[in-house]
This record gives sequence, C-alpha cells and structure tokens, in this order.
Amino acid sequence: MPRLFFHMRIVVSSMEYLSILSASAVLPSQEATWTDEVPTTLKRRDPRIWQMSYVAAARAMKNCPEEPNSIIIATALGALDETKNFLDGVFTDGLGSPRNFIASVHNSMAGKLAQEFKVAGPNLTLCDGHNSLASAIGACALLKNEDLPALVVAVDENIELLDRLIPYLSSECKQALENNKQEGAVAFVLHNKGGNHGPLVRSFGPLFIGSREPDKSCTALIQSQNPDGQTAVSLPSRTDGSFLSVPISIHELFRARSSGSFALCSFSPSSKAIAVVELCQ
Amino acid sequence: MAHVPVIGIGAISSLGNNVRQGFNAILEAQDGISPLYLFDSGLKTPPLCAQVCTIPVSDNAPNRTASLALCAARESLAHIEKRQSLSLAIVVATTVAGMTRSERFYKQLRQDPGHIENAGRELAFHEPTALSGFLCGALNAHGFYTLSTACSTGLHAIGMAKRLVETGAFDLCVAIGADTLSLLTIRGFSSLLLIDPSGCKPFDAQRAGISLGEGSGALCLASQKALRVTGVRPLAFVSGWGASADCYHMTAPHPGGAGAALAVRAALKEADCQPADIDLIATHGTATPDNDVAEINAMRTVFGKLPLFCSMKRSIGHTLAASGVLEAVFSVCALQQGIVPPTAGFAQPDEKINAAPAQVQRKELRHVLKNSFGFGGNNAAIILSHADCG
Repeated sequence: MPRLFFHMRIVVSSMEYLSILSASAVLPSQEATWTDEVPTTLKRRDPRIWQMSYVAAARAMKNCPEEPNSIIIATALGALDETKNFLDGVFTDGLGSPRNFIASVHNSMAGKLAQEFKVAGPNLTLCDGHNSLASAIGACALLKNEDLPALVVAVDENIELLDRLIPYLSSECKQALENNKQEGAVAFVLHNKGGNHGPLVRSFGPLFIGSREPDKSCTALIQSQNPDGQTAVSLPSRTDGSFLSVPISIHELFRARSSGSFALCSFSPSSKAIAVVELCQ
Repeated sequence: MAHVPVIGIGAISSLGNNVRQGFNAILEAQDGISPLYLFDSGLKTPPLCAQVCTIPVSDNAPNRTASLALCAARESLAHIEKRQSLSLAIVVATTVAGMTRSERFYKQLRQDPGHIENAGRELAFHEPTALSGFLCGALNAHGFYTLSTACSTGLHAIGMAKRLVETGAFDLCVAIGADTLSLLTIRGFSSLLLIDPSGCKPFDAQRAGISLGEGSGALCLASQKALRVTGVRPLAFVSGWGASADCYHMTAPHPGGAGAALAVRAALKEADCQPADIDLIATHGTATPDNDVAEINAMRTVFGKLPLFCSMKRSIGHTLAASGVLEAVFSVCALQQGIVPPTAGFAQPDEKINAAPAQVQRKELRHVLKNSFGFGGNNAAIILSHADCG
C-alpha cells in the first residue's frame, strides 16, 4: 500500500485502487424525464431523494456485468425534505408523520435500495459533506472481498428552505450551500479487481486541515503521492462548490473515457477537512 | 483479518461520566431512566429517558452531542502517552449530530421569520461531518469517517476502525458513538408507538417498547506499532465484524432474523470463532415486542442452544448510534472482570421468546458477541475477545 507524508510529519496511507465496473447519474436539472424510470410503487409514496437514488442505482446495475453484494451511500444532508416535513407536522398539529420520520434517517436510501435490489451484504451510509464520496470509496476499499462489488451512490437534494436560509448563513456554510442547486444521484459499481477491469479509482481522506488553506493542502497531498506531476488536478476552489461536484466530475470523466490520471479534490467547510478522489483510466 | 487490540475505552451515559461509574451501575442493575427534563417534548406525559445529568465542561463544543463525544473520546485516550508520532483517525457514529440546535432554530423560525438572521450561528454544526471535524481538532486527529446507519452505526464504526488499523491506514483509530436526546427522535419513535410509557423491559413478557437515552462511547484500537510506541497493553481485542441488510422492511425486523443471522455469522467467520466459542451475547435488546423476538430467533438460527445473553438498554437507554460503542465498552469491562452483566427491567419470561437473560454472575469470558440492528433493516455484529486471546 503506498504511503505518503502529509502535514505535521504524520504518515497517512491511501486506500487501494478499485475498478469502476459501471457508472450512471440522475441530474434532474439536466433531464426532466428521469422520473419515467421510477416504478409506480415508489413514485406514488416515496421521497424524491429515494427515487433519485433508485434510478441512478438501477441504471448503473443495468450496465454492470456483476451484481453488487453491498451498498454504500454518500450523502451530506440525507433526506432533508423528510426531516423538515416531520418537524412541520410536530410544530403544526403536534403530530409528526411516522412515514416522514422513517425516511428522515440518513441511511433510509441505503435501506430502500437494499430492499428493492435484494442486496443483503454490508449497508453503509457515509455523511462527510463535500467529502462524502471520498469517504464512501474509502469505506468500500475496507470491505472484504466477498462483499464486493459494491454499489456506491452519492446523493443529495435541494429544498426550498435551503434557498431561503443561504443568505443568512455564515460565510463558511454559505460557501457550502449556495451552489448546491445541483441535486441528484451518481452511482458507481466498484470492485477490487485491478488490471484490465476498467478505470480505477481510489480516495484519500477526509483529512482534517483546520485553518490551513484547502487548495494548498490538496496540492501538497497530491504532490506527495504523485511526484512526477502527471496528474490533472481539480482543486476545491475550482469546483462549483456543490456536494455533488466530485461525483459528477468523476462520472463525466468516466463517460468521456478521458485517458490519464485525474485528482478531484474537495473541501468541507463544516468539518474543515479535505479529500481527494483519484481516477486513472 | 487480524484481531485488533483495544487499548482505551471511554463512556458517558445516564449512569455516570466515565467507564467505571457506568459499568458498576450496570452490574447493580441500576435503572438509568427518568421523566424527560432536558426539554419539553410536547407529549402529554414526559417520556422516561436515560439523560446525562452533567457533562464535564468541554472546550467550546458546539452542541450536546459534541460534548458527550469529546468526553468519551478523551477518556479513551487519556492514558495513552507518546502518541505524537502516530497517525490517529476517528470513526464517528451519529444519527442526531447537531439536530438539537437545528430543530430549535427551525421552531423559532416558524414562529418568527426574523429569526432567520441567526441561521449562520445555529446551523453551522447541522451536518454530521461537522461533529467529526470538531472532534479531530479537539483530539489532534488527522483523518476521519462519519457514519450514520441508524441504531447499528456504532458497531459499524468499530468495524471500520478495525479495518483502518489492520490495513495499516492509521496507527491508532478511535471509534466514537455519540447521540443526544432530541425532539426529532423522541417524537419520531413516539409516532411509531415504540416508546414504553413505563420504561423498557428487555425480553420481558410485559415489554412494550424502548426507552430512549443519550450518551457516548469510545474504543481506541491500536496497531502493533502503536502498542510498541505507547507501551500500553491491550484491554481486549476486536476480532470480528459482520454487516448485512434485511432487504425486508424499512422498520420491522425480519421475523426469523435472517439478516441479523447473516451479520453474526460474518463476524464469527472473521473472528475465526465457532458458535460454541461465544460465552455471552450483549444483545441489541431494545424491548420492542418484535425486535426481541426476531433477535432471539436469529441467535437460535446461528447458535442452536443460546449462550448467556444480556441487554443494557434499561440501564443506559437506547442511545441510538452511540449504543453499539457504549455497550461494546461495557462488554470489554465484562471480559476484563469476568462478570456477566444483569438485564435491568427484566422480570417475567415471555413464552414467545422462551428464554431469559442471564443473572449477574462471575464467569470466565473469552469471546463476547455484541449485536446492533437499525432502521432500513441494517444489521451489525462484532466479536470482542479477552486480552489473552490475541
């Protein structure tokens, strides 16, 4: 396992490379017809964030030669609309809806996908803000061989309440949320078969940087891992700042079959931590 | 997969602000629940909950969950010296995170739109990852993961911490489970009619639901290098982790416990244990009518004849994401001291379960199975082994 030196002279290891067997995305702002793929039973009753997760997962699995044995969800805020709806019920008439409460838990998407696709292995949900995909890939690399392939879905939703709050948030929160119009779900099926089994991905972090400058910290991290400087780097300040920036970029590079090594960096103002997802194809 | 040493433990719960106080109270089968006084739940009768009376002052913690987590994490690291040259990660398990402040803010916002000007201050720590960032800063940790898989989260955090150490990613890794009582969870479980108004009674014939609680547990896992550098001796080992999904229902457990059995078998396999090697099951034991039956059914599927088992939920409440780590901490104490903890709240056996939790007793314990199950059909199990079993 490669090891790299990072700040404070502490040795931090990268995770192993994983193969991307397939990938897909649902970005409602770019395709109005995505709901056509939602089964009627889900369309009638289930939260929008579950539906986005379902369609992204179904598309990824349709194009995948192997069925996943585990599910890992990456989400910053989870089913925010359900949380708001439950509290509205409590504050309005004293009765919160049990359905809203059940769906409000951060792992409700993971549970629903397991139920729909009958994936009985490990079922994890990582909530690391802008660094959630890196966390999910890291968690995937920690699974046992028999638990792979893993279906990894990055998903977040935008709700009207967030739009109202953004102007009043602290600069750090504002930075985290003001560009978060890009709601959606991005799904990957990942395996630990290296070599000829498709493009490779791995992650570093999240790593806590405190008050250090995110771009400089990311650059130092990548340089220590790739001293030849052959990696194309996208720093946090150059992304659109949404929770889904990194998953969407990885998906676009994967679809375009762009060859080379790419490092997509993220910074979470909430945790003051950076992460890097590296794609090689 | 390796057996990974546990070299530090920490706990804060309704029973006390450290491991010793908490475990002693569990051995005395103390009732840790009382009518909710921390805030007004809006329910006609305040539910019985396990509340932490006083939390030691913790530097600038942004919310109650962070205060609890920092207290437990610091206890788990307190005696570990010479760790400056070691890489340290934390794996944080939480469901509530900063929700207590967010829900209070949202209530005020609904009443007074002008309150929106306080959004920056009140929502800064809403995201679960903010808790991990705060703890990293306070503990001088370098990397982290933030997990949220409902009531099973704590054990997954221990499992991931185990992997991070055994793969060499970090020298030390602290699994921290933390949750506080919140309006969302109290009203949520109440809406599902899952709260027992007279307090939870695990495995009892009269059981009628859970008692919510708050607290935090922390387990510090170490690599061989960390053992050499710190000179600290293992308290116990985390020897196996199993995870699975029921694929059955979003809240109800599979009646036969099929998913739970899958997780337990995976944990046994990783620990290189046979079912007969397990001396004690520290059950999830929430005391809902369905959960307790499903858990015992699952255990019978795996073990045939049941090992001794216990539940700690009446003593410390159901602390959600914290429960797995807190109860694992007390399971380490049970292994160290060779004592099977009692199950507070149990009085009358249930015919449907056809088994009773163990009485408090001295017994040499070599391997303890700890279970946790959660919404979404999420199952987790770990095996903790005696310090001599490394």
